[in-house]
Amino acid sequence: MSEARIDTPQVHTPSQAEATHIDNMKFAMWLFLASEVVLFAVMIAGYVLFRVNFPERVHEVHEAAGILLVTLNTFLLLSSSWTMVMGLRAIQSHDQRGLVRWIGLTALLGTIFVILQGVEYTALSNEGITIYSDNFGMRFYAPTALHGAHVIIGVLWALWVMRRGAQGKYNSGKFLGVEIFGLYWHFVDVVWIFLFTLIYLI
Amino acid sequence: MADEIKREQPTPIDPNNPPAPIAEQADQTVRELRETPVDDPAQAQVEAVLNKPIEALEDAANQLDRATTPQTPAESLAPTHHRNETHLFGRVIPMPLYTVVFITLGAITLLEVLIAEIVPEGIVKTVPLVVLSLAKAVMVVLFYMHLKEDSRIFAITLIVPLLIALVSALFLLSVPITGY
Repeated sequence: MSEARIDTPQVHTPSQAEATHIDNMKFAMWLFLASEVVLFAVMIAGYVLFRVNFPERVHEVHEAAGILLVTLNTFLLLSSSWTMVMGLRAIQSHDQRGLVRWIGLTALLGTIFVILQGVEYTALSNEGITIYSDNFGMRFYAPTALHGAHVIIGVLWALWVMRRGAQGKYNSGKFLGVEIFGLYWHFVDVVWIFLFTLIYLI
Repeated sequence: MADEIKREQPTPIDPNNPPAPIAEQADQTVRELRETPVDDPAQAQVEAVLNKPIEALEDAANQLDRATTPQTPAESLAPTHHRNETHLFGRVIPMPLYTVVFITLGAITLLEVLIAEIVPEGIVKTVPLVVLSLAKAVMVVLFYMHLKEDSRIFAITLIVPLLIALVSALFLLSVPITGY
């Protein structure tokens, strides 16, 4: 009688019920992200309206803020998206330690992003650009601060995924938690891509 | 082995004459019924007319089925994500696809900053910047969020609110600024 080798890589083939559950979870995340699209779109539209009607004020703020810090922050967030997806790739290849390392790096990059955003806010505040200073303040701080809040939540979520990864809760056939977190994190990155261009570059 | 788990054995299938899947059997029946010659030409004409909307409905149902069929994790795992090289425009790049996307995103960002610093204010600056940021966002959504391979329903979920937001923003831009 032939015996199956224990170390033979096993391909997890989910049942129909499992596959449907996975799809439902992902769909729920996409629905949540759709609601987030509306939320951020309203704020971005509010900023764009101000930008179109008061270009001089925006130009003054650009002069005061500079572009170096925010460019660095953009690279941090882009890098964090890459580390996130590499973490997913690691767990899909059953590399549990790799997952923890990549997600840990994602959390670190997200944390540095938030710290640098705090530095940027402080610098702007010293220039007299606050949330109460004029019409620009609210339109600038509302979308960027809301985005920052999303990054903070993302960092906490990353730490939780890391903890579960370290406990061996994910493997090559069970990585939905990592994938769902990835959707959230990449969405936060996509929002920043637009904020960076529309608020800081144009 | 004594401790071996006993499983129910399915009915043996003759390998030389396997039964067709149930869906195929049903299709076969419908096909046979349709292909049965009809003597009366008027009746044949009526049937042909009646069959048209049914066929169109079947096509639509098949398309919807393909678009909404849940994908298993094994299916969502495109092999390209696990290769250590990427095939791009006929060239082989010795990096995973995710890394190639990351480098492209970084390069586009540098280009954006360059345009923002060099090009004077105006449409010549705004249009390329918006296009480049859209390209970056699409790359992240397609490759990192796997919308390229996932169900189209997810794409629709994202596109519908984006369209509503875009139309609303354009509508808002037409409002006079006396409110400020």
